[in-house]
Amino acid sequence: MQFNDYNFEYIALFFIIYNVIAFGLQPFFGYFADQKNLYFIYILVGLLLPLIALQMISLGVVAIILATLGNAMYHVGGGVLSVNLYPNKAAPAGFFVAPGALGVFAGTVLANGYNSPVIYISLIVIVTLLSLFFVFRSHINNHTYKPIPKNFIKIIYLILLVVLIRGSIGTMLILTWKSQIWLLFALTLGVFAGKFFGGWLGDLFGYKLIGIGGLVVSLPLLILGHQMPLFGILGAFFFNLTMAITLFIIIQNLGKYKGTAFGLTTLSLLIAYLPSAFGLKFEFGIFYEVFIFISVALGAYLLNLAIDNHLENTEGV
Amino acid sequence: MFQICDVAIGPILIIFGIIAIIVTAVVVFLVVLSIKMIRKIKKEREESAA
Repeated sequence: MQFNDYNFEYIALFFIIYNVIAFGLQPFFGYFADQKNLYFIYILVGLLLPLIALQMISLGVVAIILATLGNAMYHVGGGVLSVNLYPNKAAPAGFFVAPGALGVFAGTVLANGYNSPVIYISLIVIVTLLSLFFVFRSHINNHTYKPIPKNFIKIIYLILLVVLIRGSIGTMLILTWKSQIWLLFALTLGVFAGKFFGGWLGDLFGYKLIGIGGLVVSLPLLILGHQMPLFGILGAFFFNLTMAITLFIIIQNLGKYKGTAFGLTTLSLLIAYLPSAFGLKFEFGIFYEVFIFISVALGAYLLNLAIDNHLENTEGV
Repeated sequence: MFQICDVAIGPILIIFGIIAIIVTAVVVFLVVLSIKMIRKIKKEREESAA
């Protein structure tokens, strides 16, 4: 079986390589950037590397590795610069990460098209690169941070467990209607909106209400969404409200190590992705429903503990 | 040998298994490194607090 001149086995392998490098190496890229304050360089190189990769797409794995290194750098650099614009708000974390959902969808559609999108994507990357260069060249990075609290280890591991559980649910979800392109697009919009507005709503109405409330409301919707697109799309929205909140809390509790915080969450996502990458899947039925129920309940409980610990620190300051 | 639609899947399963083991080992290694990094941050915090 082939797709665009590649065997499916190669595509699967490339996909795993991409995820392992892009998600797995981010904690270390983040740590290095935190030590040397390299965020601005990271966003430039993070765009430049995928641009180069696009021009040498025929080299296969070499292009994949270049693109994925760029991905890791851009995520850390762009993430920290975005968060630093409003240091005590969760909203920027969501604003920065959410468009990634649209990007993955767009990439899937473009890769399935008959015409090569390389020129158009290259132009978009060049314009973005130049815009960011001129905007951030004279921008003074407000890298302010709170001291690392005493209980930070506990908060970090709690948040990483929540991210791991959320990632596992995301990869195990069974939505039978997802193969229809317009419904997939609507689902992507639901994911995007949840990630985008989660932090902002959390800043307005409280992290517990939005984070835990979002998870609890998403539970019946995700199960009903198995065959009913509207419920699935709404479920995806509520389910993703927690993303910016968990990201914000881990960033707030790692002091100057904001890039490391970004990276640790992606490493958790990588672990969550592995079982499904190796073919582990549930059939729809009682075991699937029990898995979703226990995972969401456990995620909500751990998030509650993490937010309590985080609030203890902020109230004590 | 397992056979589906004239395609022997035995060798594919072996290759897939090897890839799965390598990828898992790499991820475990990255997790261990990350835990060490967190401990380093903890130590740094304790030194600056002292």
